[in-house]
Amino acid sequence: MKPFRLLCAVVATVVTVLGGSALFAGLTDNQGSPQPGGGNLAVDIFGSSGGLPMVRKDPIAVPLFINKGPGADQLGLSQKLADQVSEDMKMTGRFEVIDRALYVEGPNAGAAKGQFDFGDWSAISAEYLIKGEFTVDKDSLTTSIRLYHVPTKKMLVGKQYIGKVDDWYVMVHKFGNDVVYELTREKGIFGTKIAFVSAPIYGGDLAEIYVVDVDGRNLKRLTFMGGKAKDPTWSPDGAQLVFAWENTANPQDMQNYLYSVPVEGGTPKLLLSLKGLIVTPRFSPSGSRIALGISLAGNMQVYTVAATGGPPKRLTVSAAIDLFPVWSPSGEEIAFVSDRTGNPLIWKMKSDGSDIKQASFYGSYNQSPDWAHTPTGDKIVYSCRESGQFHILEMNPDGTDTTVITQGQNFGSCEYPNFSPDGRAVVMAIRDDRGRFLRLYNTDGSYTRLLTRIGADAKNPAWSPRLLN
Amino acid sequence: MNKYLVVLLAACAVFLLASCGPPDGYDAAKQAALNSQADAAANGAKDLCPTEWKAAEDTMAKAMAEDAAKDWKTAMADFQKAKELYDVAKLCAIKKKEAMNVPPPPPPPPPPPPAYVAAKVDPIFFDYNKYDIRKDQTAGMKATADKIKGTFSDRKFQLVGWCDIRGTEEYNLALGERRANTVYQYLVTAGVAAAKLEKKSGGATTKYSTDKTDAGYQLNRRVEFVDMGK
Repeated sequence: MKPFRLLCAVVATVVTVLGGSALFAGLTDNQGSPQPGGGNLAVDIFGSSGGLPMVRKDPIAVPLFINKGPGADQLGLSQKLADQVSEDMKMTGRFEVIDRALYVEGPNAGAAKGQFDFGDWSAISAEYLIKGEFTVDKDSLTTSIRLYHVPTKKMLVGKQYIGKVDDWYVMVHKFGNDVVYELTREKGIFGTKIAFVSAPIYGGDLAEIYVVDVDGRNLKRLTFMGGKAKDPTWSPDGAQLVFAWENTANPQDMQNYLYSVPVEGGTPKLLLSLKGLIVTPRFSPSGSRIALGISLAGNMQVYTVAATGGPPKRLTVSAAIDLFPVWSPSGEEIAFVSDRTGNPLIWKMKSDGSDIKQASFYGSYNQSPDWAHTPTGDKIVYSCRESGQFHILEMNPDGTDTTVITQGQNFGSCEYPNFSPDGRAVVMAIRDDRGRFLRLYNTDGSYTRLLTRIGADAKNPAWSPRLLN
Repeated sequence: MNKYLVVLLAACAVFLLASCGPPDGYDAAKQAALNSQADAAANGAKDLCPTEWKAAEDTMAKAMAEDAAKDWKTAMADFQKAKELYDVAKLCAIKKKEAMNVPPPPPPPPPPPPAYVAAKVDPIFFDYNKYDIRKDQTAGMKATADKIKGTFSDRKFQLVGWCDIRGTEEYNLALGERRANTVYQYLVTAGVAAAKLEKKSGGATTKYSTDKTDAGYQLNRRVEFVDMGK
């Protein structure tokens, strides 16, 4: 079953609006908060370091959820639900969750409007309040979650979710998406997944494809091929992953391969094999073609191949190393890495290979670009090696407004940035003396969290498209 | 009269003496016993079958004593008995030797063929992020071409391009391939048969140095020549 269908089945019913319509009029300007990715992040390229960029966040309170069922909360859902809602709100980058130790509300307060006093929340300077209730009936869980705007005493979002108890966090993620949509009219990214590459045996010359929920749950190994899998890319419908594969278990095998594998698991399907290198495949936005780096006769160039396989079509014709192709959101252009001026930098061209132009102008070693539509327009992120380690840079597709988005973060060497579906965040591979691992990071610096444990030997992350309806 | 008596007595004595000598076959019996004794001794009966050997020796000693005493009849019988005992001892020794018989050691193996000595060809080093032959490597490149065309003209080589670990894995794979390709093109242009050469990218490595210094990185930026045999 496809993941989004599974999630749809889990959350069988969504009853919208509890006791009032969603009121977001007058609040969608985010009460004066800066737009993520805004110009206030502009810093000198590789200039002086600083802390997290200052992004104003709205204080939000998320008290423990109220158990409305007849039985005791044996699963600890009251705290689990509230904690996951808090984490999701933090991840939006818009909210600062107020410490529960500061809450003054009494224990008998309810969640519906009229069952509690907004004054208890304005007293601790909460601008927003999320109240939740839940009922457990055997394996079934019903949750009701509400977002209030404290100064206006209005409910902005009120939703009820019904599903299995084990999928309590899916309900929270759906609520998170609903909150983001009500406040920004953009779809949220909760419930998405990250595909990545890791070695099943640390230090070996083997690598397999793994998938994990963006909240860190449901880590799953997808391939068991015994060679070296590389560079997974999601199909736009979120159902397939395509990846390059090298048969490192048999050094005599000079072929390289391109496979697809269902995200739900299954036998990988061979799309392409040839004597030469195959690297960095990337699905087109329509899902019909895959751009990739192919080396025939020792000349790495950008090609495309049909998503169902077939002969590759060459796009770049140069004496340079051309690889890491990535499509623009419209599918009309492709950015890629080329060393045609002597150093690997970001270039772009039309998707038929014409009109090649240099796109990045900073540093001398630019790698692994990604291109997404963000709240501030189309942006390209890429890794740039400077002073011995990689940083993540973001720029307009024409190379203007370049910003070091990991400036001063002391994350270690940051590589392989890959945009979230809303363009507000990236997942990146961190490399330091402890190994490689993955980190989530809002491009405006408003949120960051490790996705894999340190030293997990995780790399080549790829953020899925939205999977929750 | 005395004169005739003396002659008569002498004649009688001669007759008596003649009539009391070893019987027919005595010497043959004695010689047969001596032969069997030598035979048994040659087969190691004394050590392998000491009991049988002693019985034969005792009988032989008795016969020899009887021989000295001119007790011909008894001596002849004992010589015959001694021969039989020596034969028993000899047979015993032969059986013991057969029982102890171990297979002869295998013949020494033939000397091994001379060990294959892999050709040693010095690597070619590259600058950071570059894949052209730099000036200080051109002499080594020419010497390598001459060596592969000359001393090692019967060998095949795999050219493996390596990079230091500072870049991305994908770019380093392409870069290592370019380095191998550069060396390949030089060798083919210099007259090395293309069929003798195979190119491969090793990508990034710390195989030749784990030092995170410029010198350590330099050691890993190379094309290695791997002898693939004749």
